This record gives sequence, C-alpha cells and structure tokens, in this order.
Amino acid sequence: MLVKLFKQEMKAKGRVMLLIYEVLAAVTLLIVMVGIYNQHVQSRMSHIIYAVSGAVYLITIPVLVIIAFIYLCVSFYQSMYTAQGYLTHTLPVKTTSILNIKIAASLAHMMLTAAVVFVLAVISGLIIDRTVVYELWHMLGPAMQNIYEQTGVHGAVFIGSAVVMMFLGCLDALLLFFAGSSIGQLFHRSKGAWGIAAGISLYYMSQIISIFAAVLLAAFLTEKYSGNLSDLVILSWMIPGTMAVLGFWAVVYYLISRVIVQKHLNLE
Amino acid sequence: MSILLECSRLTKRFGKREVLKQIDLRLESGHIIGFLGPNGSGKTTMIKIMNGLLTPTEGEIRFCGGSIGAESKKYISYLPDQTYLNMNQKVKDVIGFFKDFYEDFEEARAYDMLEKLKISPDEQLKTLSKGTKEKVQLILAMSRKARLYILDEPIAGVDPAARDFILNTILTNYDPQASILLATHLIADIENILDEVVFIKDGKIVRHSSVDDIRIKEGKSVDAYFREVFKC
Repeated sequence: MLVKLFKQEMKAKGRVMLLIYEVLAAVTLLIVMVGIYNQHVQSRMSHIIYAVSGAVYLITIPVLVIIAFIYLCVSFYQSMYTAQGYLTHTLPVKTTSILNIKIAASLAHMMLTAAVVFVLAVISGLIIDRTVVYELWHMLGPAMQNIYEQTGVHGAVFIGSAVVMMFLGCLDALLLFFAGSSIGQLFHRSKGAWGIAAGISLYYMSQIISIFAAVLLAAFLTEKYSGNLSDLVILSWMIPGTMAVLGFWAVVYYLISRVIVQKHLNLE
Repeated sequence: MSILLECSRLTKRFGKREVLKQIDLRLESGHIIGFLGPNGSGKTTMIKIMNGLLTPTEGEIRFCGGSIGAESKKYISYLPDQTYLNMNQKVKDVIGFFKDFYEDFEEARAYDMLEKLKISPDEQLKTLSKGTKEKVQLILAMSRKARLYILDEPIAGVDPAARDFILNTILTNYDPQASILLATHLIADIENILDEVVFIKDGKIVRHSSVDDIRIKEGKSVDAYFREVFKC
C-alpha cells in the first residue's frame, strides 16, 4: 500500500515537475546554442549576447528551482489541508504513513531537481567549452589534497558532507513549510495566512536558537582549546555541528506536522 | 443486525462555538438512514468526524468496535459535499486510484455506471460540469462494497432528473447488509427510500427513529414532520 502511495505521489507531482525539468533543459539548450554560435562567430555582438544569455541562465536556474520548491509545498498543502484532503485522509492508510510518503516524494523530487541541474550544467559545460570542465576536473584532485593538508579532512568526506548538508537543508526547508501549514490549519479562519505566519515564526525561532547554540559552542571551544583554535578543530566541529542543527530542526518540524496530522486534523 | 457505528457524548467545538453537543448515536447495519437537519445543524461536522477528517473535542466514536482510523476507512465509503478530486486527472485515472487503494472497489461497476451516465473515462475532470463531477464522485463512492456509505448531500447540486438516477444508483448498488447514511435537507426527494431518520438540530440529536414510527405516531410524512420540527 505504501509503495502504491509513493508511486501515486511521484506521479501526481511528476507532471508539473517534468514540465519544470523540460524548461530547465530548454534553457540549457538555448545557452548551449548561444555558446556555440559565439565560438563560431567571435564578434563583439556575439560576446555581448553570450554574456547576457549567461547572466539570464544563471538567474533562471535558481528561479526554476524555487518554483519547483514552491510547487511541492503548495501541492502538499492542497492534498493535505484543502478539499483534496477529503480523499487523502479517507484512504485506508495510517495518517503518519501519508505524511511520511508525502515528505519522501517531495524530497525525492527536490533531489531529482538538484541532479538534473547538475547534469545539465556539466553537459552544457562540456559542449560549450570542454576545456573548462576538464580543468575544473583536474583542479578537483589538488583542491581535495589542499583541503586535507589544511584541515585534515579527506576530500571525499568533505564532498560527502556537503551533499548530506544539501540533503538536510532541502529536508529542513520542506518540513519547515509542512510544519507551518500544519499549524495554520488548526485555525478556523485564514488558515493559509496563519500557516505562513507560523512558518515565518518557526524560521526565526530556529535561527535565534541555532545562533545562540553556535555562540555557546564557540565559547566552549575557545575555553577548551585556550584560544588556539586551528582550522582543523573548527571544521571538525562545524561540519557535524551544522548537520546536527539541520537534523534537529528537521525532527522538530516533523514532529509538529506529525502530531497535528495524527491528533488534530481539522478539515473544517 | 450488528452495530456499525457508535458515538457517545461526542462533542465538537470550534473555538468557543459548540457545533456538536454530547451526541449519543448508534447505527446498525442493513438500513438506509436519513441524517436530516437544516443548514448549520452539525451534519457535515458529524460526518467528518465519522470519516476521521475532524477530531472530536470530547467523547468517543467507534466503528465496528474499533476507533476511526486506517482500518475503519477500509469499510466506510464517503461522498463529501464538495468536489475533492484533483482536477488535473482524467476520470479513468481516478478510477485507477480507487482501484489501487480500496480492496472493495469494483472497477467494472464504476465503468458500467459511467457508461449509463454517458461520461467518458478519458475526460479531464476539470472539463466536466459541476453536476457531472458530482456524479463521478457518487460513482466512485457507490462502486465500493463498503459496510457503511456516508453520503453528504448527494443530490443537492444536481437537476431533478439526475436526482432520480442518483437515488436509483444508491439503491441498486449497495449491499443490503451494509448501511447508508444520507445527509440532506431535500427530504421529499429521499423520503421513500429511507428506513430510519436521525434529526439533528443545533448540534443535538433531537430524534432517531424509524420512518414508519414517524408516520404512525406523528400521522404525517417525514418531510412534513421535519418542517414542523425545524420551523423558523
């Protein structure tokens, strides 16, 4: 049943997400064509067009990623807390399973979006100017070695940590919205507005508490290492510390959503 | 006859407003029950609690002895009073969805009803009229072999000719061992098919009896009795 639900979720969101991926691909194709034209013509005008297109491309990609994120959030809200929720919550599945599946499907789409952006960027780079991509690739080894020498952290661990943090960051952002909208539906009027207000409040609350925790940690480390904090020490605390903070807030937002969906569902 | 649904001291408050007040109700299998009351009397709130869409403030509700949850939803077929389907889907997609999730859903019966109503399975839901969307939703609800059908205002949004079809659909597609709870204020249209009535007024059950009982004891039709009880 849960596999079916996951498939349905992926399918339901898939149509719009596919459209976003198609737009991403089309925009990338456009910049590739302009890049190839620029290489062949090499005029001042072609350089200007290429520069402008590049700038537009760099703006378009994050905008499309934000659109994808907003769509996933709106889709969650509609299927859980509007009239569509009548169907969602009358399925013979535990409410927590429904929530978990929706989180998993949204996260899968976010990761897929990141993967599509990465792959398109690499492909466009290879087509327009493969030497830059090869150079970047060759620079990666020495860069990793440099990181290891400076901090003692292996390059693979560093990249892995960055990927995990990106994953946790996406999960955090999604769950923040889910928790906010879940709080909003507890109200009897203007549920959407209350949901946004709750989301903003949760965000600021988490930022204040996280900064406070970071300051406390810095004070503790300064005390522990008598002011001789090396890059290695800072990094060895910063990476797991950031992951722990992201993970902690993800758990908090998840629990808020779960308790509300499970015990206080309010589809007035 | 077994007890399908049982509520005791069921109360629901929205803020300070008490919508349902200490409701005690027991529904048995094998009946068509009219859940009757004027607008704002608490019918829909009560139905939403039965389906797990709202949580009661106080009291208890049980279906076949268990609480409302994933298990009860296997056996309750619900038709809401508004359009709840994703409008970007085709009719056949929704039928596929119901087939996937409800073990008691009979696909052939759904397609048969669609054919009788001349609704194409390939139509996008958003292109259908409001009345046709309601018919699709009714088909989905009635194509299940459920133990309890809860139909919230199934005939409110359709023309009189379609009402006859809908009532006929309800009558011919439900298992006699099951029960139907029909919430409406269009009593004259459904009176003939009812076995029992539950009158709800200002969040309280004011009468729960058989239709024959009302006719014999009150000497009038359910519709006439309703008008008397709920006179403004």
